[in-house]
Amino acid sequence: MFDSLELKSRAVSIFDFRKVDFKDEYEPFETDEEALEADLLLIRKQHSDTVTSETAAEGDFVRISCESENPRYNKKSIFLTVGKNIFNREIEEALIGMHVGEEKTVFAEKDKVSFTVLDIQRRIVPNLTDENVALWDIENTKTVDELKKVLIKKQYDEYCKETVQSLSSYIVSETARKSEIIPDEEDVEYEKNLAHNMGFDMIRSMGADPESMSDEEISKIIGADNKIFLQNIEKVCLDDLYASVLGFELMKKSGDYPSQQDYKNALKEQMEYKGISEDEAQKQYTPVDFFRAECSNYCYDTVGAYLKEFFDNKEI
Amino acid sequence: MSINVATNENYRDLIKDGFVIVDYFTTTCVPCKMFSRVLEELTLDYPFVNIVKVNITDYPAIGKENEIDGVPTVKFIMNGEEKEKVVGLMSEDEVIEKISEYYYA
Repeated sequence: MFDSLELKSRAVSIFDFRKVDFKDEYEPFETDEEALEADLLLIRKQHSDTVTSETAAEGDFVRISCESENPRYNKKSIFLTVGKNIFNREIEEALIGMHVGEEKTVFAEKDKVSFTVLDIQRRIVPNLTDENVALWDIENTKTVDELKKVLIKKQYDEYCKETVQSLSSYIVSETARKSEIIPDEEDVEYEKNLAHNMGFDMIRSMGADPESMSDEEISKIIGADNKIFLQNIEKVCLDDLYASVLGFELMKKSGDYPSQQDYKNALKEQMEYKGISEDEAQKQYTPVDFFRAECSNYCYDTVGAYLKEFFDNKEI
Repeated sequence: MSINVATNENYRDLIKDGFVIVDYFTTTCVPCKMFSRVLEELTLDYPFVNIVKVNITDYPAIGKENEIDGVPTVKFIMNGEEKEKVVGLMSEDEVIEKISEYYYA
């Protein structure tokens, strides 16, 4: 069925996306040393042991009972991490050096609080050594250097994912600009309508009501100028129309058309996502809507695969 | 802090006692992954707070029942009572502020 569908918008000539020069459009990969250190610390903490301690020190997990007229400080049993100062700075400072069973009275700002230490747990964080790394057995790494390489590779994979995504948009947009595409008015209207609904859904998800609130009120809640926000979404949707036309041409060349089963799966997703019946899903998401979206996806996927191969072949 | 993964069967039990942070997520959502890392780091500094993770793709009924329209959504629950619902990615400091507000209330 989908191999006989045509898009109303059409291409007179198509520029080869592989000829788009993108070398100045991305930053080269650099290891994020700070993130690497944070990852290593997280791994060490994940492999730490907790032991009972007699005296409290900064970073210990302590359970206390406290009495005060202020209900925040009147608890039979409450946990805190000493020195994080989320519970109360004065109490947490006073805790340092206290023993299990010891009592103290302090002023937590203006509230008089008497508290007793019930329990102290201390985290022992292991050092980063080859011996420990071999014990932890993270992705078969046996040394600190091997572990670092694995973590840097993860950073690189993440970098590639983000770079491929942004470069795909650039390449598709440049390809569309250099091609000759005649958009159909109905398709343009469809994309504008889609953008309108998407924008409103996003505004609602951020806690604003696009139908009853003013632009000014919405802008305050979403943290951006509402009109520009909606214009940007509209631009993305119209770009998508060009991507559909490019994708359609690529699909014709490869013969890789979506199947009826693909459409059924997409309908199922719509039904689950929106909580609607199959009939309603078919009305809201017609085969033509599906095909247009698939063509756009095909375009981005093809460009994405080309870019992925480019980055996979690069040395880190 | 312990991280528990919710199912249709255990969800109610997991949120009924004490202070619980519930993270409603999907595996394809990038901010959800970032928030997962925030929670993972918090678990190590605040082991006394419980975290419940709900994959709403696998358990859409829980998502529907809790009116989850976008991910990540975070709920702060005390003894089964919802104290606050936040839609969108939260920073570590923002979560800590909520722990201070609700756990130590």
